[in-house]
Amino acid sequence: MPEPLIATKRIEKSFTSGGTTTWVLRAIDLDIQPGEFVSIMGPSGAGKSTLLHILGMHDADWSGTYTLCGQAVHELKQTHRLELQKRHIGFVFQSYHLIDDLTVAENLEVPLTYRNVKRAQRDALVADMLDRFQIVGKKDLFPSQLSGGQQQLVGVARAIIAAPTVILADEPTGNLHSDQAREIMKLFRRLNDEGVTIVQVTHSEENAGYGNRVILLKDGWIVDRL
Amino acid sequence: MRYSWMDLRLSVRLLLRKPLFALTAALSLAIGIGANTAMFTVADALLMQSPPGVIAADRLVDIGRTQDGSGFDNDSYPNYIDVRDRTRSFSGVYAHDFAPRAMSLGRAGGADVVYGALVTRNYFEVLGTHAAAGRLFTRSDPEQPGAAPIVVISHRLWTRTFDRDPHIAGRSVHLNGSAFVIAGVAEAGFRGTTLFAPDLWLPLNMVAEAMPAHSADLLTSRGSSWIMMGARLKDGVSLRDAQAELTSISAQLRREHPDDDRGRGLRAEPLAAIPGNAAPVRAFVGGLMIVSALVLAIACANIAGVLLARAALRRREMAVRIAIGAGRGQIVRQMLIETVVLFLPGAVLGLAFARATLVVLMSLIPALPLPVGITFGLGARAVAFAAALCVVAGVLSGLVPALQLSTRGPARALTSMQSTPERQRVRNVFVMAQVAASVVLLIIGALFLRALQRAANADPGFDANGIQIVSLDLSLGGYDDQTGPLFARQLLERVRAIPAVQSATAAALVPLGNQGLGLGPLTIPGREPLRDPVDWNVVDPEYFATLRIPLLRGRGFDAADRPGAPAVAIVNETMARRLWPGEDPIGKQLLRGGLPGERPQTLTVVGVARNAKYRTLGESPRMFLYVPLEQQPLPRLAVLIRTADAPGVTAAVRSLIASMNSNLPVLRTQSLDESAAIALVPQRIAAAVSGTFGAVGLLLAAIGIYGLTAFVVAGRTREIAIRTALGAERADILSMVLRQGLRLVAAGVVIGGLIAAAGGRLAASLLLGVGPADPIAFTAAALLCCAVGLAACWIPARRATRIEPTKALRWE
Repeated sequence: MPEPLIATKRIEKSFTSGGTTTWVLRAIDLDIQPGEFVSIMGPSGAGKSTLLHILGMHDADWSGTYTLCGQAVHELKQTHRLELQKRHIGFVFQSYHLIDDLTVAENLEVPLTYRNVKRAQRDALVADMLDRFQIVGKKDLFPSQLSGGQQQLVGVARAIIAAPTVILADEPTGNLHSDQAREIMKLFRRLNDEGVTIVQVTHSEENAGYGNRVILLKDGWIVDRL
Repeated sequence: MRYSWMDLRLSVRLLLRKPLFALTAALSLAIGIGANTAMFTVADALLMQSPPGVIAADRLVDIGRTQDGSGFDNDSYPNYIDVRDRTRSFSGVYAHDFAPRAMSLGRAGGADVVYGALVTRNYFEVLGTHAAAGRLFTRSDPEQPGAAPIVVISHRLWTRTFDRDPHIAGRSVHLNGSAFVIAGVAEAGFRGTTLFAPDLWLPLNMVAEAMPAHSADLLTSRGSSWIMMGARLKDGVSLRDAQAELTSISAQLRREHPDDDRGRGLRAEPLAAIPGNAAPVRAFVGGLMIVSALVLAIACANIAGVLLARAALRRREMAVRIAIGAGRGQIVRQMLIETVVLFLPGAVLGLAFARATLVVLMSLIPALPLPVGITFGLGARAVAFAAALCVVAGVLSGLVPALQLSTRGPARALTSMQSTPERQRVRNVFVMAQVAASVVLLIIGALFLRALQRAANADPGFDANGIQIVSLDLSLGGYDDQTGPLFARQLLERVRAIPAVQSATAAALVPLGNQGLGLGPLTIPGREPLRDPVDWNVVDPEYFATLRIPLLRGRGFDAADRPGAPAVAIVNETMARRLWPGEDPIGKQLLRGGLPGERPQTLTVVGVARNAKYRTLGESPRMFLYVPLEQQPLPRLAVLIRTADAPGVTAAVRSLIASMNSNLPVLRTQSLDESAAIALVPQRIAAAVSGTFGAVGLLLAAIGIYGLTAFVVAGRTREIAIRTALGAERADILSMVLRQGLRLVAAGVVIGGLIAAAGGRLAASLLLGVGPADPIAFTAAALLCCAVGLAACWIPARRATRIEPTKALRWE
């Protein structure tokens, strides 16, 4: 078995309020191989999004071990984590989280500006992505001028423009109606076929069906692996 | 750099999307940056800029005479010679007239008034300036009195009067009726070391020609203090070392000349526009800069508060940026670029505001009796100052929001829109700081307004309304002690005959001109010489009637009080009370000491005049003595005319004087009110500046309070809806919201009041008797702030009462 792309051991997270400790994640052991399409499912409050944000290195307040592409994230300083995150991870948000004051093209360009990509190369990558997602005609529009599905399309394009190793998607279709949702999931399927590892959090069994593995969370524990 | 361009583009776009915010920010910053730039210009011109044409001004010092350890005054010519010859600390010591003197420059058809300064032969050489044409004075010019009838003219006079004649050197001119030769022209812009701008310079040994009515004893008498010294420090010599040597020299002079130099010392200070007064000028200008800095602080706090509020709304955007790879430094850079872009229009507008502020400031200064060479124009240094201030203020204002937004851990921000308590506290602090700063400014403005009000209501002891002044120096027209009084008498007779003239008189000193006149030490027969200072005035008999100063006992002066008749005097109430308590002063005698070797003169008191204000409106009661013009002729004379037609009478008097003596120039014409206003310039400027800035600051603080309260209401919509659903009435919601806003206002008022109370003592000397903790000023400022704060909270508070629970909770 090749080395997992993502490997976690006993990831735990809790917070204390008024003397009471509330556990969000308990003893999460997880291995995700390169090229997998994994869906994390479970009821509300199970800790799905929290786990995803830990994998995406948006949250540094946890215990356990986390290895990404062979690098021990739990041992890295913040600066090195940021570098690792930029190199390997693309994140898709449930609420798209496009920057309202930037055009579609500028939103796509933003991750590249944080990765020291030269201007000419940035322009080329943005043009390529606009073409690939067939949104060239919308490149000068602002997010408020797009539909939800179009915004999420741009969100996905933004997540992959820097060619990440893994895409983490937090309820990517949660705010879309079913037709739009299907289009997004088909897109994920295509990306996965091209070799991109995808980990999504979803409530939808239909969405989970696009992947090849499901991990069930409940009350912070992994209760099943399908 | 390329990513900064993207940040720059976004910053401009964000500004254009919020035009109202951008405009408000730009205007408030324009006022703050403009005010500071204007004050910097004043400080630069008065304190920092080297006088034009003077080399290495930082190595030059003024040397003044102290009396019993204090003061900084003129010294005598013999003392100057001793200092010059004995000192080893200076490479050159010069002497000069501090204030240029009016002189008559003869020309065909009449005479022009010019202002000339007397200087030693080495003056130009020590200052390091050069001639624009011809030559300047040198050490090889004769030093004997009257032996060097040469003059150096200013570049301005050369341009204005001589059309830049290239052959100016060697040309003859008549000054005060005496022939002089123009040696050369000073370089453009050169005016000497003081704030005045003489039209020409004469060698000191030509003093008899420059001041015809004064005796040549000025060059030999150690008791005649009339010149200011200056010097250049030798390389490697510090001011401290030089002062030590001067202290030693002054001790030698006191031993060698115990009568003339008793109690005298020498003090050296860095070169200043007003010698020996750098510290008070620095303090006054420093006060103005503090006031303007407060305005900028208020503007910056206002903007920082709004940026913090906007930051709260942009937390999610920043969290997304961090989530997709932005480092903290990149977020901070982006926020700072946005802030500096926000500040730039304010800086540009600020320069325009600075120019307008300087124009207004200059309008507060009445016409001065001497030509002043300092101008307050916006130059390159002021522009650089404004630019630097813009960047610094922008960085400081944007730093807190930038640092707050750039904190790692975007996870919470991506899922929650709640503003953190810490952010709220920071905004509260900003609002309190704005209110406190506004209160300080308002209190300062109120204190100076009260001082001006006191001055306006103060009884000067005479009727100043409708008095026009025409100033003359009879010596410029060739008059002496014998012919001068005759001319004055004839002039007054003819002035009184002008139809619009109600009454006219003449005096040596103009009341409330902040000047004094001393005519020698006074002694009461059989007693010790008077130690308390006595001011004098030399007046025409109609003086008391024209100025409506009541005579309380005895008589006024009359035609019998002429040369040869017994010398008489009129004292004021204070003098009568102090010298002859409980006695009738009429008939009492005073001995007036003259120069060494002269017999003292006996003055008999013939009348007691009511107390008046003599130098300034804020002065304490002082002893004052009047003597008749006929018995004590002086060349400098002010004709005081009571009339309802000032322009017409002034023109008529000018024509009259020209017809009586075409060589006698009129030095100045001004109303007594304008003349008295000069002494109140610091108060007027302080009141105008702090009052205006206080009002602006309060407006900005009100905007801050409004914004904060509105933000808090928006954030508490759910809570307010629940309270309403549970039974809270509109009054309950209103008072809840108002209490929150007014708590900040109250805290700011208290803090500002405490700061003003502590700092007010520094300005006590300028308040004309108004206490620095004047309760009226403090109360008025506090009430105004509270009222404005209440108004600012009112609108969002009323909006809060209109929240409908069903709508608000359904939205949740």
